[in-house]
Amino acid sequence: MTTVTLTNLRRVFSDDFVAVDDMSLFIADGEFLTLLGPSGCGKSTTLRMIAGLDAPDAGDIAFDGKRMNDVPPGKRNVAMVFQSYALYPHMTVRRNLEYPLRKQGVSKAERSARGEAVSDLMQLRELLGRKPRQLSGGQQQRVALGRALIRNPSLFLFDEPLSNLDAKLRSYMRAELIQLHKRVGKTMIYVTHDQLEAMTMSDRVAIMDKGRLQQLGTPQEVYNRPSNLFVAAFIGAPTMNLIKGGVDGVGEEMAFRAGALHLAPPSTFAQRTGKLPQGAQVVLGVRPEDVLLYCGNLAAFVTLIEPVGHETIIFLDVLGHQIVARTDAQTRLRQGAAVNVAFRMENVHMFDAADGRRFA
Amino acid sequence: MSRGWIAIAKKTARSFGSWIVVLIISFPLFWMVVTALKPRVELLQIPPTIFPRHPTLGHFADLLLRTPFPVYFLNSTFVALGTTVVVLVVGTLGAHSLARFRYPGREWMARAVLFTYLLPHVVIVIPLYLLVAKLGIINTPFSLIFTYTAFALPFGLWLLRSFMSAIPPDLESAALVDGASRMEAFFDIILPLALPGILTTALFTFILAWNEYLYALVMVSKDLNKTLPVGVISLLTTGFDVDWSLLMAASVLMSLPLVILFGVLQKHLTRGFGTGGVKG
Repeated sequence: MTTVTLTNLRRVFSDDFVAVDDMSLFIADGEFLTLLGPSGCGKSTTLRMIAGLDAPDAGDIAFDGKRMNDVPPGKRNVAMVFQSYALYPHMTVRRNLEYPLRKQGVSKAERSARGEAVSDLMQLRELLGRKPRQLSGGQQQRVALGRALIRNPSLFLFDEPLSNLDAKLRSYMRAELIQLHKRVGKTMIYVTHDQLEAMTMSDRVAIMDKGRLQQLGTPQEVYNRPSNLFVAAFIGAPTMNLIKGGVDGVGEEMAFRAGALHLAPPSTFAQRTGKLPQGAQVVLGVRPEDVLLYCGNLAAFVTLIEPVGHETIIFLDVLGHQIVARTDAQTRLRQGAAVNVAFRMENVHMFDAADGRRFA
Repeated sequence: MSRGWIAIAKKTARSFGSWIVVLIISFPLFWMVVTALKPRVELLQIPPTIFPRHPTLGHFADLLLRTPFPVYFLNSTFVALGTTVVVLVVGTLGAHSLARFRYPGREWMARAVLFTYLLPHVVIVIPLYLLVAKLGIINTPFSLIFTYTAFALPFGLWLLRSFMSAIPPDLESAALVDGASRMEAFFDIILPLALPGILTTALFTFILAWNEYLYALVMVSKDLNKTLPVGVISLLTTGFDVDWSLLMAASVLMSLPLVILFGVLQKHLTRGFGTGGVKG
């Protein structure tokens, strides 16, 4: 039973680089939370502060409401899996697994019993006598997971644990980790820059950029209602179409204008956004799946076609704007073809062009 | 076919070359051993005998039983081991600090350490002598341990620092999360992984302390506190007379510890000299 509370965390590195700033977060017991963001966004630093490997310059870290700032990492009862796996190269697999128990002063008999239980669980039986360098990447990963599991910690921390695996093994290990979370039911915090991992594994995703929390929500929430331009552009592949333009008309009459492109958002839109001043600069966001082909009245032509297999990505020129659409694999469109398109207006997003905030 | 012959010829030529170098380098050592085993009458014979006609261990017996050689040997052992221990303790901890922790003046300090290594030893004889005299340890083995530490530590710090920098920081982080204290992580993870560097440093320090002459001559004048290089010279060379037989017997005994050390540590040393042989 462990909840994690971060309050206004801040970490500044010696060269005045603010790695994490004003980070506040509550992670519920048994939750799988992912810290997602581009490299250098502060997600790993946040994780290291939770582990106790890095000390915050300001703010508090609490487990179950108890302040943890001054508790050394070994006494926080957390387990951490590193991107490099961080297996001790001079120790056998068995000694790697038993190391945390050794440091807790667990008796030899119990150490070897628990070591064997974990090695059965992670299918490491035959490898117990080997050194890490004699193992494949996938096997090293399983040893690292086993070493995290063996001490029965109250909190699991993962720092990009799948980044060093090849694509096939990665999707397999993703499923394994989801299973593991279901089985042990412990709170897990997972750091990644891979949105696929974040979307498929997490209960909630915390998206970070430039040291700050950008949005916190379920994978559906961050995908369907990105709270700002950064999240909108970061989540989704291919990325959301973002069209810079101005607001024309007020209230029910509101329209969006960008060059030759002229769109009338549905009336519900105005209710959500409230009153936008005439001429306000905004960015309209349209997901590739919300670009409908063969309907509507926007004239477009195809500039590029990317067949992905199960679907086809189509690059369009819509009245001078580069727009990406997603359609099924059977499309008969060819490069250069003219086609009419429409945007599914009830799904479009609108952001303030000045500060990137979401209007609706 | 012909290519195979060329490869074999090349290999033979290369090993032939190596053997010639080995022979040239080892001849003085061979001559030292042979001289130590020759009876005095055979020593200056012309033409010289390559192998002693009547080999004897008498010179070794004389040296060990009738001279203070064993005392010098113990002094040297004490000084060399003492210096090695001090250099290793200070060097590993200091190098770890220089490799891992961030604090103002770290790089400056690391470079200053290297700078001290640039000064020729003979330049600082007088300041070091005054320092040692002030500390009240002049004429004792501790004065030499103190001095040799000052010479060996900069090299040790630099070598160990590069070894420790090559160890992935994640390993230490993992140990800390796994419940180790900082010192435990240092002993469990860093020391075993830096072992080749530690052995190289240890050997370098030991050899320096074992062979050093100038400071041993300056700092220690009391006969029973002398180390081997100074003791043996003052014992066996008097005026114009050099007792070659005893001198060579002493040289054989003096080089034995180093030969044994090299033999035992050879495997680790080849890794140590090719710095950075730690794989994460």
